[in-house]
Amino acid sequence: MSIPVDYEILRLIWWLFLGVLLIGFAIMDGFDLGVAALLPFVARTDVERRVALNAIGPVWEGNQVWLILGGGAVFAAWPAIYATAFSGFYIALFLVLAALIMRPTGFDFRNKIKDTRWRNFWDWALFVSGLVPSLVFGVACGNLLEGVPFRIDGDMRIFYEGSGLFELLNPFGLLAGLVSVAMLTTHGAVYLSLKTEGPVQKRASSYVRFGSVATVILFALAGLWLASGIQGYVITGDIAADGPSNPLLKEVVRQPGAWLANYGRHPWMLAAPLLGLAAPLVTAGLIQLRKPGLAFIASSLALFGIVATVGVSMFPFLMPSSIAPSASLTVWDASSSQRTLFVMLISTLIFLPIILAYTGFVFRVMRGRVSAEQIEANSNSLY
Amino acid sequence: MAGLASSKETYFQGVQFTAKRSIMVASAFGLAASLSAVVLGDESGYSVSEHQKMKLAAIEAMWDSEPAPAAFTLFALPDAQTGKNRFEVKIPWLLGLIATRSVDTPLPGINDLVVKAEGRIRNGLIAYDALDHLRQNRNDAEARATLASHAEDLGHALLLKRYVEDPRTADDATIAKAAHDTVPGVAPLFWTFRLMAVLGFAFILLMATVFWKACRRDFSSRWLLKVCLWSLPLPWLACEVGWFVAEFGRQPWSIDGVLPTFLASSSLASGQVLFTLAGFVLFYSSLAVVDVLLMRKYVLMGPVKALGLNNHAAVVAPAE
Repeated sequence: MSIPVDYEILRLIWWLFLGVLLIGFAIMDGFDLGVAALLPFVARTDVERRVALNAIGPVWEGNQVWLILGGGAVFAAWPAIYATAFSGFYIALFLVLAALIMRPTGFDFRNKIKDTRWRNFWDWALFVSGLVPSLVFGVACGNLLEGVPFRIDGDMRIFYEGSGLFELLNPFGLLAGLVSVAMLTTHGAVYLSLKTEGPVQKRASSYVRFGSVATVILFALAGLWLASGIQGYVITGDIAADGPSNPLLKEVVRQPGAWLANYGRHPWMLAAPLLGLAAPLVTAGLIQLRKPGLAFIASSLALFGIVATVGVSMFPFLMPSSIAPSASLTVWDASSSQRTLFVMLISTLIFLPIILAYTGFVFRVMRGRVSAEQIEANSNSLY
Repeated sequence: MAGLASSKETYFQGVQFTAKRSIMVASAFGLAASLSAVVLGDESGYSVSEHQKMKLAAIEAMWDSEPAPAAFTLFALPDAQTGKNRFEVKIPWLLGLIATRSVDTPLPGINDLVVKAEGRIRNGLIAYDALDHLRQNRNDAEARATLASHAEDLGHALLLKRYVEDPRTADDATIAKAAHDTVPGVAPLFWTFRLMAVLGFAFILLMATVFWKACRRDFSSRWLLKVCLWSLPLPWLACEVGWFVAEFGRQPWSIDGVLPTFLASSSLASGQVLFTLAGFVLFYSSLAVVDVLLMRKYVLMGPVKALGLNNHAAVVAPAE
């Protein structure tokens, strides 16, 4: 069978899909993470906390599918990235996984025993389950922008030479992590002001004001740092966009300001960082005007802008290597085969609409606010 | 489910109704599931004989090729040193029927497969050399053609990387050693597979008995309830040994004939892997303890109390 789509085009499509899935994850599961990270602060009494938990209760598991889908897409479409990232960020991803495992247990165990200490313990476990993944995903993005210490040998085996977790927690990485925490907690707070009422909604709304301003400041700081202090990567010489996925066939150099080069070449790409700067402020304004539905859309656009900024700044790089720049993984030499990309494209075109449809259906069925009365009336069956 | 329901019924006569229903549902599903496991197992047996001949030979402790139709070894004491079984009990024809669905296909034994592997390693070296040329010059048409015609055996050449940096420099003794590496541990495979199969048939027997009695509304047999209760961990055990057969039987390959395990693993330091392994064991064990304690609490509570007063009516007077 000859494949009707060019290899180059397929790689570009899968780069776009990678962005769609990451942004989908940030928007959909982002508010679950944000709500969990805010839980001990926006909700003080047991009933308040159950209101917050049941606001995400019917949807968080479905939303987590975006993470699995994203991981699966990286595994199938960008296997070299998957291998390098999962080995390189090994301990960090272990922490993410452990934190994410606390989430279902937190949800399911929490209300099984009526004991304040027991419930407080799980509330803090849920806090960790929201905070750690938010932070680590941001830290990982920051480290991607800085370059990751790996090399590739002649057998295409990847050797990660970094010293582990603490190396990832460098100042720029931490700043990127804070951007992520700020934007996801803000997103979670917007969701809570949409789905709850009473004191939880009030506290969530006032957090949105603080969180969205923090997001803009941190994001702008990271941008300035990126422009002035972080060396980007540039491919020098030829690279065959439809060539074999062997990252050792090109030359790459590090250059100050290289991560901004794309914006000079394609000014329309500036839309991403501008959206990331403007949308959080619009979110805060809409919350002030008591329009949480529109605020949720604005907040989603903010996440879109911020995540897309990382993607377009680095294009065509996906995972640059700081110790062997020429071994950097790019869109053109880290994908799976043309046939794999094509077959996956077809299945994605079939299944993504189905996922969107059932997700939409669930949100429709579960529309409306969660109230303290509902919790008390269904105390044994709700989270 | 049958196990849990049995325990409830054994110890708490008060909620017999729920328990009986659970047993009926569980035995029907259990019977269907254990029967379908046989169908699936038969299917995998057939596909293993086609794609992973060495795994099949090792599971059956079949050192020498079996003339068609091959006999099934019921019991054996495999000896890897001599490449023979010290003692064996065989059922004629059976393996040939299961693995090849025919009476005229012979099955290759371990010793013959090793000889074959040696040939494939030598063939793979030609592919390895061609690949090297192609990497240096993408347009080398001759190397491309050579690679294409020998690509099937490229993975076998990679087995030599365990001993030498460049497989092309390997001597005859090293090649023979690499060929011998293609044999997984025979005795562990032989026995774990048999344990899995025995458990599989035991589940059918148990579930059929429970189902038969449940259909006749007979829940009185205490020994059967006890057997159900104590069978709780057995499906888990069957899964584990099945997993062992699948993965250990694949060695030394990650992808049979393509990618050796020692090349497929990541370059992580063992300390890191140990850390996460210990972390997961500790983490999951503590969650398991909490889980079991909660389950115990709710079992003791019974369905009425556990669901709350709102649902009381639904439990006591279920709609028929």
